[in-house]
Amino acid sequence: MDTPAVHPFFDLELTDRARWIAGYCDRALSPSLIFPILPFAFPLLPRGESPLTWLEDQFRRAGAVTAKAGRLREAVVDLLRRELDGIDVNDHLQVLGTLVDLARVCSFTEVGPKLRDWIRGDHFASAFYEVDGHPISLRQVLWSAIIAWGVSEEMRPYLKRDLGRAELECGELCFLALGRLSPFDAITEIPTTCTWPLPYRDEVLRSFFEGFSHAARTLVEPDLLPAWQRCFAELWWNPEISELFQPYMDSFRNLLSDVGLDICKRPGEEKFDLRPKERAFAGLLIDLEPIKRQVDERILTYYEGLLVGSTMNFAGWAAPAYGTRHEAGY
Amino acid sequence: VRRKVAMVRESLIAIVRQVAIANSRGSFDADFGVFVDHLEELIEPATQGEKDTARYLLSLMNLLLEMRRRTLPQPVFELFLLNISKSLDHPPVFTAGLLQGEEAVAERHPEVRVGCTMMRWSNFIRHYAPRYGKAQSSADLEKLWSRIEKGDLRVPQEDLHLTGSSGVVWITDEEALYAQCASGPDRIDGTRAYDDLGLDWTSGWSYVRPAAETRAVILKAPVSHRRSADRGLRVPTSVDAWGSFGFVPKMASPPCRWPSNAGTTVDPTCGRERLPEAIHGPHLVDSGAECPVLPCSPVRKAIPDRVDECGRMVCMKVVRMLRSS
Repeated sequence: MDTPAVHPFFDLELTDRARWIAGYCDRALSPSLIFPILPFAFPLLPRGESPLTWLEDQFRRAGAVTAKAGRLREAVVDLLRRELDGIDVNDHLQVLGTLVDLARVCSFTEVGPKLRDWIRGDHFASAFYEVDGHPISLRQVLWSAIIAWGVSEEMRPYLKRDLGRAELECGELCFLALGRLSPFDAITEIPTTCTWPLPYRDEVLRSFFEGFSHAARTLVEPDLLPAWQRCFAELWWNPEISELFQPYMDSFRNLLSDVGLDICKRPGEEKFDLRPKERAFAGLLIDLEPIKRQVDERILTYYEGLLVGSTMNFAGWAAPAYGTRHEAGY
Repeated sequence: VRRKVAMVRESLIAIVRQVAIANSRGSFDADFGVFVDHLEELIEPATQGEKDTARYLLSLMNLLLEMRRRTLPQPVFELFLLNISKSLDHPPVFTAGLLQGEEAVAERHPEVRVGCTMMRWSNFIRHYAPRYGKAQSSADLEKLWSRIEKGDLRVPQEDLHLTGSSGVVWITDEEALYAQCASGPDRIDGTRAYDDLGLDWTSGWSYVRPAAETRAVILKAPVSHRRSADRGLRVPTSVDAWGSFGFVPKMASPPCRWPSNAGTTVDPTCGRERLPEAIHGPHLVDSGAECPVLPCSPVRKAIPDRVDECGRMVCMKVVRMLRSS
C-alpha cells in the first residue's frame, strides 16, 4: 500500500487543525488535545526528529503533491496571531517556539508583524524552548525569522537593545543585522562583542568586515569617525572591556588587515591611524583626546562606584556608567 | 548464527542502556523490574525457537538484576560473563564491581584523545548558526558551510553538544579518526564514518524523512582526562546515563566494524563525576577548549540516533517475532 503523501490532519477543520498542530508541538500531551480517532493520531517520531521537522516535511510534501500546504500555513499563522489563545496546552513556550521556528523555516511571512510586535514589547525575554533536548532562546528564533525575511530601519533600536543582552543569545544575529542597516552603530557596538565567546566574536566580526572587503575605504569615511572614537575609547579605557580585548588585539588587527585596513597606534599619543591599504593617504585619524575627559570621568565614576557600592549605600546612587554600557551615552 | 549474534549484541546494548538509565535515575529496581516484567509478558506467546532467544535475553537481564542485588554468587557471575564474552568473540566483558556501583578505575592511557560528535547539518545550523550571526537564509548557510570547509570554524567548549540526540558520540585519537574515516586531507567521508562507527544502515527502520543524502559535521574536542574503567564493559558499545552511545577499546581480532581505539562519551562542561554508578566515568573536555568543526562529505542516508534506533529496533524485533509466531 502506498504511503499517503500527507497526514490526514490536513483535512480537519481549521479549529481542529490548529488544535492538532498545537497539541503535537506540545511537550506533553494535554488531555483536551487528544485525537483518539486513528487517522488523526499523532505520528510517532524517531529520536533526532521533532514535531518541527515533521511538520516542515509535511508542508513540503503538501506543497509538492497535493497543494494542501495552505491549510498548514493557515493554521500556524492563526495560532501565532492569536498567541495560542483558546488552546489548552501544557507548555505554552514550547508550542510557541516550535511554531515560530516552523513559520521561519517555511517562510510564513504573514506572521512578521506579530513577531515584530513581540520584540518591540520585549516579550519572551527569558523564554526558552527545547530542540533535541537543548534549550533555545525564543528571542533568538524571533530575530532569526525577522532578519531572514528582511529587517527594517524601524527595528534598529531593538537590535541595539538586544545586542548586549547575553541572556537572549541573539547578540551575534543582532550585530550583523545592525551592521547591514547602520555600520556606524555596529562599529560603536564592537566593544560589546568582547564578552562573547571568542569563536563567535571572531566569526561575527569577520562577517561584518567582509561585507566591506571590496570597499574598505567606506569604513574610513569621515562620518564614521565618532563611531571609531567611541569604539576605541571603550576598547582601551573601559576597565571591564579593555582587559578582555587586549589579548584579542592581534587578531583584531589581522581581521582588519584581511579586509584591507591597516591600523596602528601613534607612539606616546592617544591616536590611531586607520588606513585602507590601497589608499594609504585617505585614512582616518582616530584621535581619542577630545573624548578623554569624558572617559576619565566615567572611569572615575566606575571606580567610585565599586568603592562606594561595596561599603556604603547612598540613596540615589546611579549604577556605574561603564557597568551598563547601553545607558552610557556619550 | 550471525543474525543471532547480532541480535544478542543489539539486545545487550538495549539492556545495558536500561541499566544505565535506571542507575542514573536512582530507581534501578523499580524501573528495571518493570522492564523485565514487560518483556516477560511479550515472551509468553512466542514459539519454542524464539522463546529460546528471548529467554536468553531475559536471563541476561535477570542476571544483571541479581548481580545488582548481590544475590548471585560471584564465581557464578564471573563464569556467566566469560561465556558471554566467548559467544561474542570479545575479551572479558563485564566487571561485576562496576555495575554494582564501584568507582571506575582510570585507564592507563595518558595520551590525549579527542571527543567527537557527528551531527547532521540541520541540527548543527539549528543549534549554532544564530551564534555565528547567521539568520539561516540559504546564502548565510552556504557561507557558514564554506567556513567549515576551510577549517576556520570553532565551537566554544561551553556550547558543545556532545550528548543527547544531536548526534553520534565517540572518543578516539586524531590518527584513528582520519585513518578510519578520512576521504582526503582534513575531510571526513560521512557515510564511511557513520558506517564504520556504528550499526548497519539496513536496520529496517523507516524514517519519517528519508533523505537521499545529507551534510554532516564532526565536532572535535580535545579530551585529556581519561577516566574510563579499566577492563570495563568491553562489549562493542556502551551507553551512559545521558543515553549517549559510547565505545570502549576492544581487541583487534576478530576483525569487525566496531572502531578500534575508541572510548566512551564526553560531558563537555561538567567537571564533576556525573555517573557515580554508571558504567564509565566521563571524559572531560579540556577547560576553555575551542572545538574545531570538520566537514563531512554528504552522508548518503539520514542519520538516525543510533541509541534510540537500537533500543527501538530490539523492541520492534521482539514484538514482530512474537506476533509472527
